[in-house]
Amino acid sequence: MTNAGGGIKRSSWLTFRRRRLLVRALLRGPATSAELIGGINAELGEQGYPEAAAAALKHDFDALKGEYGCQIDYDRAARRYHLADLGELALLDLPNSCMEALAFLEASFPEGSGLTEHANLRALLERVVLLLPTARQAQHRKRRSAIRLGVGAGGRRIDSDTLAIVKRAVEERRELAFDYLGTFDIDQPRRHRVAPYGITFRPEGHGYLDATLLDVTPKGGEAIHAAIDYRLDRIVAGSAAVLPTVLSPIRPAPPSYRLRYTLVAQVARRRDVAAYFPHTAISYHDDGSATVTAMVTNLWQARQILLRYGDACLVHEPSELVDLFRKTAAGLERLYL
Amino acid sequence: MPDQKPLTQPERQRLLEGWLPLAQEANIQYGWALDAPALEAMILQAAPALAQAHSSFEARAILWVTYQLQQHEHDR
Repeated sequence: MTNAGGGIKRSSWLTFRRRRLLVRALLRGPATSAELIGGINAELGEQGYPEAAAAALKHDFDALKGEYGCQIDYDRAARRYHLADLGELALLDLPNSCMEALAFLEASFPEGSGLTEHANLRALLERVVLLLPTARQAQHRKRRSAIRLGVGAGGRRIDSDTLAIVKRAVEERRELAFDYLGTFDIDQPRRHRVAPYGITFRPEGHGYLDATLLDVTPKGGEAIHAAIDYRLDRIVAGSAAVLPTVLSPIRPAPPSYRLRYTLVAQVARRRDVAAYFPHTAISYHDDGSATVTAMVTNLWQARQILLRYGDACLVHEPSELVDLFRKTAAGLERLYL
Repeated sequence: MPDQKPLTQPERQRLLEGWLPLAQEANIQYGWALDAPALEAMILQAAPALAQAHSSFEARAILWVTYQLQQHEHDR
């Protein structure tokens, strides 16, 4: 190899390296030409851009567009370059299992959710998707469009100290006391002493403590030994305390009810009725309707879930739940009729 | 769950009742098309991890991983 050949080879390598750094800089975010030149010169020193850097930068952009199909846009108002598409430089590809995971994250942190804590995750997801080859991006968009619901964002933030105390009480099987502001506690929270058994989360994002009520001061409408789902964000921060008393070996069993309801054909005819309750059994009828049976202990939760069907659902039993629906219907009548 | 003892019937009932709404929403959201017994089995399998969840997102992620593991077992 001649000196001249070696020089050309080294020069080509430097050019390639500079362009690669340019792409990497743009992957970090939109940048002005001065920022790009400064960043690359900081990396390459004397081997970076020459004095007439603006022309060399433009030449590099043209090469990236022509040779690799990169799309680099210029925002005139902000005077910044923006990497819109990596073209053939999209070097990241993922196994199908990771593409599934990406779809899961997309569904959980949807665009336009408006939650500030999601903003950085959205930026990360968009950046990862940008690194994928075009065909994989298309596959990802198709999968994403098939996913309809996002993660629930309702409810206030759960106090982390409260959550830690509740979890400790559950794990150590010890009684727990806390001040709680229930739906009907307008002014003051009341002190509840409970046997805690577990924490669950619902689709709308609320977290609940599943507990058996042992005592409440002042007394309210709650029945002692009732199984209650306490909203964790309604436990007054700083009020929860694990008590020394260990739980009895067997939990007082709450009353269990056989649930039976009918869904009209409009809802059930596709034969994909959802199972929201334990021991769900579904019978589809010739007219397109369906009868669902299940077992429940929490009638309040059952009502909340079945209300989503509106007037497409008729509850037959238990009678206690039918009564709850009658009260709800009477309330709705007062409001609307 | 805090320990690995078999669940009593009331414990199992409350566990399933608590998690089925979220599991069913995930079932719809991610297109799993699991029927009622399969959803219950998934919750029971995921129960120890679900007990450690700090948010509904974390719980969804646990259910999602459990589903992937079940599919992997099924494919083997």
